[in-house]
Amino acid sequence: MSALDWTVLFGTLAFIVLYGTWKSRGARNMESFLKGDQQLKWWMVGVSIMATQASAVTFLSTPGQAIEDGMRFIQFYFGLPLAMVIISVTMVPIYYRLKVYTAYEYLETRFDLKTRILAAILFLILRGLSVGITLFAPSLVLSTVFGWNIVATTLLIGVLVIVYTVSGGSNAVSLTQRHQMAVILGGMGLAGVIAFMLLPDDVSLVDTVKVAGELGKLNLVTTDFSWSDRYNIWSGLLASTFLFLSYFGTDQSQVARYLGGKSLRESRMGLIFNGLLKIPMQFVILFIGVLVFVFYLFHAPPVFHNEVLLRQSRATSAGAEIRSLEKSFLDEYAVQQVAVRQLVDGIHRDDRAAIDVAKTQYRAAKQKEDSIKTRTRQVIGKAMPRAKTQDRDYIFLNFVLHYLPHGVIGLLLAVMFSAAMSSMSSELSALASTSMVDIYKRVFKPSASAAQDLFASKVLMTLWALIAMTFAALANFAENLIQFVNIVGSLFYGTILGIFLVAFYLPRVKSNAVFWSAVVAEGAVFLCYFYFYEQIAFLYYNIIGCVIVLLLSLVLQALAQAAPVSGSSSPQSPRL
Amino acid sequence: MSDEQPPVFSSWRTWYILVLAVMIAQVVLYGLITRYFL
Repeated sequence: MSALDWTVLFGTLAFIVLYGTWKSRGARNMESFLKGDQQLKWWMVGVSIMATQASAVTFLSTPGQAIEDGMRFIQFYFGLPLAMVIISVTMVPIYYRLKVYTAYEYLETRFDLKTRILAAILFLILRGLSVGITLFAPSLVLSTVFGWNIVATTLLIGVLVIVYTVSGGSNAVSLTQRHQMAVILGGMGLAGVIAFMLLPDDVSLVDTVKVAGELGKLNLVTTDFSWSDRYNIWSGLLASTFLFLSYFGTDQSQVARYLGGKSLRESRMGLIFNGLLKIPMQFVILFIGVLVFVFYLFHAPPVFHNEVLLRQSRATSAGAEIRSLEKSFLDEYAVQQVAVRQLVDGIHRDDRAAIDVAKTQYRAAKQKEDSIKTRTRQVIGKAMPRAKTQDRDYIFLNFVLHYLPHGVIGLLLAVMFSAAMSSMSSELSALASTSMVDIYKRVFKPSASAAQDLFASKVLMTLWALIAMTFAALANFAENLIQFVNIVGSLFYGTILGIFLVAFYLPRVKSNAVFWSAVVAEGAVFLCYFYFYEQIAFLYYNIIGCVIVLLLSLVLQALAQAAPVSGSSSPQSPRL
Repeated sequence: MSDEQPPVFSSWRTWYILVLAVMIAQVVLYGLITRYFL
């Protein structure tokens, strides 16, 4: 990191925070603080939705995912456009008609207070955990790579977000997200261009695509169905649709973004904007990962991408074995490089037989490299028992730090910080809205003054930020961060979506039936997580939770209507 | 322009069809890319 990088990084962050604080100053009541001025145009709504969803984990983990597993992760997003259409048609008009602060307010109108509070509490648990991970992920990676103290890194990101979010509320979130998204798109685009320019002169873009394709990285659509396979076209179109319906339709961090639109029209267009652009955006991020993969075919990568941990492990009693593994890895890499050269030559000559021979040689060398990598992880894990030996989240950042020019490194770090801040600010705003409107004001202080409401909203937002910072500073897990974020979501989203779908589409079902169905569904999802984690991919929890709520609420409602009402011969339905 | 009137097209249905058509086109395109290479 040079002085130029530090200037770019802190200059970008300072501008965003100061601009957001200054432009959004003067929220005078709870409505303006939690809902904003509702003046956003459609493209601002769309940008805000995308910036909320894209956290630092997206940019740290996704390229690494492509490098190791190919581009098939893109299938996870196939259900998103479908969810955008369904939400635009059904949910958004209802939220507008009822003029709600939060999605859960609607549930009291449709059912009763306890169902509203159940959904709000499920959301608070889910989002409270997620905001901690949103902050923890970049803090862990950045503090490891730069040797910064993790508490200091967490404090830096957390305090920057608190400054403008607690000062300007929802307006500040939307305003800053525009700049954050510009930094993110600009930085990632530049990284992709430079990654391509760093490839050897005789490797064109077409060659790059062909090499990546021949080596199995362009596995964009996989059709084999398995309950335990996370990313294939079936989980993408079915389970992801449920996940995104719940995330965008019932998660307050997203609902608040499109309710900030100037009108129903602008909100709908914002969702459509997201439905059109999200898959291409993920394609670009994954393709940047593929470019980095091809880059590492011509430049030797480290045997273990968390280089700080690798360095530390060399100083332990296992140092000699680590050095020996590094040497073996480089020897195998030299064999692999010969195969890669032959592959490129075969592609240039359009010689199918030569390509197949080169691929076989590459795979043999790669298999040996992989076993050396696995052994290295085991040795590091044994030498340093508390160390996290998953290094996927470090691959892209390592590439940035070692191969991108100064200035661009600072910009890419600003991308990570901006992404963390953009999603964290939305999440804090949503946590404050839900705990304020659905719990505190509804149950404890319904008749407080406007000034008291505004003050309580700011206090709650600060409290959630402090909880997230404490969680991030104390958390001690790091195996595949992007997956963990999605697992936490899948644990709760199915049930929440089920409650909302019953509300929209099963008018005969009443509050008690849906409430107890939701309780059972949540128990069933946790059962799957604890006892069938290997058998059922977590994305399917979204379907399981939702379907249980829908079916069980119908059964409970039918039973309640069929049961005779004791002490009365009236044919009227009981209250269930 | 009424609140419900979408920009560019005369109905929301056209926008929704466009979103789904773009999604299907991407799935088909990605499927073809996968099939070509794997």
